[in-house]
Amino acid sequence: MVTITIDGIEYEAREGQTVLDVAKENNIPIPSLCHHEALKPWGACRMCVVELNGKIMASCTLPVAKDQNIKTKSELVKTVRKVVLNLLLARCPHSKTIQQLARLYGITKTTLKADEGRDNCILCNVCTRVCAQLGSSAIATVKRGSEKEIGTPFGEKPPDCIGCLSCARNCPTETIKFEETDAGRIIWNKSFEMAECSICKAKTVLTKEQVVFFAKKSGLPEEYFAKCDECARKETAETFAQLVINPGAHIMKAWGFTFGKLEAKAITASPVLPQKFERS
Amino acid sequence: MRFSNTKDLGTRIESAKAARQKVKRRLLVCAGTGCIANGSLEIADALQKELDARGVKLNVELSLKKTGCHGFCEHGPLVTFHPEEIFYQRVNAKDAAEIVEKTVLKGEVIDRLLYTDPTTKQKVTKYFDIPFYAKQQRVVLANCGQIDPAAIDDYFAVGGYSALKKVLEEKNPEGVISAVEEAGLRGRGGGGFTTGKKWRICRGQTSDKKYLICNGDEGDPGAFMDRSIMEGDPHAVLEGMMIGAYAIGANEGVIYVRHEYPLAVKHLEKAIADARACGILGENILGSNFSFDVSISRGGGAFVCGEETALLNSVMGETGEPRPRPPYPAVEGLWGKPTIINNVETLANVPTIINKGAKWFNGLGFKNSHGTKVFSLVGKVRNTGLVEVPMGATLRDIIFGIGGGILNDRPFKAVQTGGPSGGCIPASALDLPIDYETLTENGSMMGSGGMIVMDDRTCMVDVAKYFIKFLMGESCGKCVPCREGLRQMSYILENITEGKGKPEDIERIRELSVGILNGSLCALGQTAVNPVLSTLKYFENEYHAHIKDHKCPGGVCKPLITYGITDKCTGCTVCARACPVNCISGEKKKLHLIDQKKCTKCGACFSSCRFDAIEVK
Amino acid sequence: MPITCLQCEDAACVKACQYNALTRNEKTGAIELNEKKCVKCSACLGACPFGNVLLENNSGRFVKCDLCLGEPMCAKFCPSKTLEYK
Ligand SMILES: Cc1cc2nc3c(=O)[nH]c(=O)nc-3n(C[C@H](O)[C@H](O)[C@H](O)COP(=O)(O)O)c2cc1C
Ligand code: SF4
Ligand code: SF4
Ligand code: SF4
Ligand code: SF4
Ligand code: SF4
Ligand code: SF4
Ligand code: SF4
Ligand code: FES
Repeated sequence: MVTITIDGIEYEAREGQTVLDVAKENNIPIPSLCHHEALKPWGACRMCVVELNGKIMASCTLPVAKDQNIKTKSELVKTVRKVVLNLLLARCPHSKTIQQLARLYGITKTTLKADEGRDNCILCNVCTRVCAQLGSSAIATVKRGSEKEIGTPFGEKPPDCIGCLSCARNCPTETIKFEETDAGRIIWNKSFEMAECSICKAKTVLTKEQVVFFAKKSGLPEEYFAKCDECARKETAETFAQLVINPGAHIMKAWGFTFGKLEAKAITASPVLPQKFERS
Repeated sequence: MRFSNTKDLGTRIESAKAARQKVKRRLLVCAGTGCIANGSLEIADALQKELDARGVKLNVELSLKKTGCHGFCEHGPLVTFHPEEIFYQRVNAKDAAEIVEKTVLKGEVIDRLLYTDPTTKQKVTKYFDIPFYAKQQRVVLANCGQIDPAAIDDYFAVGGYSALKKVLEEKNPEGVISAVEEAGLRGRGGGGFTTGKKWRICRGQTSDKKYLICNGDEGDPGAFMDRSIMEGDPHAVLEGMMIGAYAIGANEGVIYVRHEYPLAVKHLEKAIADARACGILGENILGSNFSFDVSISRGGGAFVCGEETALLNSVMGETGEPRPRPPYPAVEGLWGKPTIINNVETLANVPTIINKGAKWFNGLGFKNSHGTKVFSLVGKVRNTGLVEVPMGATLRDIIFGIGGGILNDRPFKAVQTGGPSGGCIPASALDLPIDYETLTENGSMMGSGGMIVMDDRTCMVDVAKYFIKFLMGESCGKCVPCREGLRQMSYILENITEGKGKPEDIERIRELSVGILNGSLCALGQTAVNPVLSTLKYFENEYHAHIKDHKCPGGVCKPLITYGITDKCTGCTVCARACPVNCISGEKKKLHLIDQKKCTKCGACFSSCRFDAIEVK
Repeated sequence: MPITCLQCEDAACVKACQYNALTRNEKTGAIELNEKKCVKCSACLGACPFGNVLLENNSGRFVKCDLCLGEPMCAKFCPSKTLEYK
């Protein structure tokens, strides 16, 4: 544990936390755009800046250290955040997310040259990072500097995309477009069909590519993933019924699950199986 | 010849020195990138033929060597003859016979090939009588141009690897760090961080693996000091790396070389192979328990790849984008292991510090900047090239002493130091000593040592625009302030130079600068506003002239200038013939006139008039 | 019999999540889904052998039983006390 000071108040922080983590835990408002709790700090949007010993630092990449004295409301902090917002508002004047954040800092219109006809991407790289962490790395930034944008390999349909939609669902400016129907989805110009339930043949909520991807990653058969909720639940119910009579029924054997607190009484054996789901 | 201990190495160094003493007559042909481009290899071949033809016994009576760069490329190809130190410039292969016949055999000087001092208009015979060299103090560049970089024996002959020997025999890692710290060596790659301190941080890390990286990316356009050192004295770089690695406890080294530097790569590869063969590099160096080997990594070519964390990513095969710090590379660098990244020139200073002692090095320089610094002097100055001076020399010493003053005797206006993200320093600061702090205090920086001299016909707004555009193109685009900020800054500057600037633009520039300077992720963005802030600081009136009066005082920004012919005109008609759009009229020997409606402001007439009769307004 | 999450000891959903969004609450024993970390990739949904992670159609959120953070409402409201939380 270390003690750090934020805006004159002391807070306890754990080793390895960032200043932004501590601020969020204690409801100290620090705006952030490129930060996502599931991903490693990136430090690109510079919205989360704070002042430490007269220097501006991004709080999302700043590890806590003993006796740090952080200011989140100094004039310099405000100026830098305002410049960043002014710049982002010029880059994507129609983004609701940016407009809202800018309004908090009293900016309603950029004083700079606004881009028109460009999408709302702020290049926070959340999409590419989410995708990379999943293990697909289907999309990436292309070009450099002010020309930089998010794209697919050679601008074509991304071969490695499994249509999980995580990129689109996590984009802070909702820039990535996708279409969803019961039968399938389209993202990055690539069409996906939903996988069929291996039992009842109804459409599941996973794309075929997702099923293949998860099966490959886990080493489990594809049927394992290609199952609709209905059938999965039916299977559970049956299992349960058997469980009461015979702990360690077929599913338990097949997948080697052991149960937590709720059913702790009933289960004695604790084999382990789906260890193949290793985190990357 | 593999040395199994430091004593063997010592013996070899002594015998190489003795051999060099024996053959004092040396004919040296510069084979740096610049001179090679001008045909110096053909000259060397021709000299060889002529010497053979006349039965001169090579390496007995005389040695003929291809050396590294002398830093005076503009006058290349260069051939020097020792021990007389005769300096021939702009030599051609056809001159070979004459050089051998007259200079080598008879000791005569060939006037035609001598250098003419542009200030005194006198011919100069000797190397060190040329003002360009006379006023320099060559420490890091001492061997460049004097030895054959492809021959390890040449390096031994000038005492090479005796610092490594000394370190292995007499010093423990802590002792090396103390010496480097006491010498006051600071990074020559940009930041000026104390090298010893950095090494100590890395030494303090416990890890199964540590790395030492030599940064030879040199992305700064116009700078070529690192290239010259890698090409001309590669073993010094290796020796510096070995000593550094020994100090921090690294056993793997990487030299990151810019991909446009094939000759540097070639010479480094040769040096690495030769050092390995000698047992100086590799497992159990010279029989000690210190093991260290070096590999070469070719850079991606982007300016930002020289930034240390981007460099790390690039070496690891990832996109060359900077990483947030902390963690600092000394703690978590290449492949997550403690890593020291040092500039080529920084490392090349290390053997000298060990050999000559920390005190000697510390004694050179000024305040907290010690030793020498190599600058790449370019722009509107008479002598351009690489110059090495002790820290604390003044800008005037360099520009007017070594550089010989401004081209065509025009007035000096400013000098931009520190590479593209350095600042412009005005005439009033010419007598300030050059050291890390003084340059920073004056709105510029040491950077890698770029120095661009500007005369009165330079528009400072245009200069700022030029550098901002360069940096905008080189920004990796990761963080918002740099990526978007430099783009907006360049829009504003462009408007101003086109006469479309508004009074509030100045305020906008200042505000943006605060955001970019403080908010950017890496030093590229953090320093990118220097050219703008420094020109605003010293030449704000020029900004106002563009915005309010629609005038460009430097006479550069086309939309704001007009060319006119004054009554100095003699009617020589030269300008009329030079004009690409034929808009100058006038009879022979009569005053000429420019048709402003047709004039494209190309400036051709201006540079063609020999009577100074054309003015820019 | 209504079916909720079994709070598996060696839960497939936890292993499938590449983002650390599913973790066991040591106090309640429940596997909880941290919405801030969830990137909505559906991996857990496919991995749970019992179909116990759901995608809420209207909110687009991924949800699962977390034992109501230690006070399961289902057990509280169960009229016959068939459901018991220990
Ligand atoms: C945009 C940018 C480009 C840089 N390019 C170089 C370079 O080409 N060579 C270099 O040695 N250092 C370069 N640096 C500085 C390095 O990041 C680093 O500070 C240096 O290599 C450390 O070595 P030193 O302590 O010996 O100076 C650059 C820095 C920035 C921000
Ligand atoms: S939808 Fe495709 S691109 Fe987007 S995160 Fe999933 S795999 Fe990656
Ligand atoms: S598309 Fe969205 S998530 Fe991806 S970089 Fe742009 S703003 Fe960020
Ligand atoms: S400051 Fe510029 S070069 Fe550095 S990380 Fe940011 S965008 Fe890239
Ligand atoms: S070149 Fe000069 S002197 Fe000759 S005609 Fe033109 S303006 Fe007159
Ligand atoms: S500036 Fe160019 S176009 Fe104009 S008068 Fe001179 S030569 Fe002709
Ligand atoms: S969601 Fe499924 S896999 Fe996860 S703990 Fe509950 S029952 Fe087990
Ligand atoms: S949907 Fe959310 S909780 Fe489920 S695996 Fe993906 S990130 Fe983890
Ligand atoms: S949230 Fe910290 S830089 Fe984006």
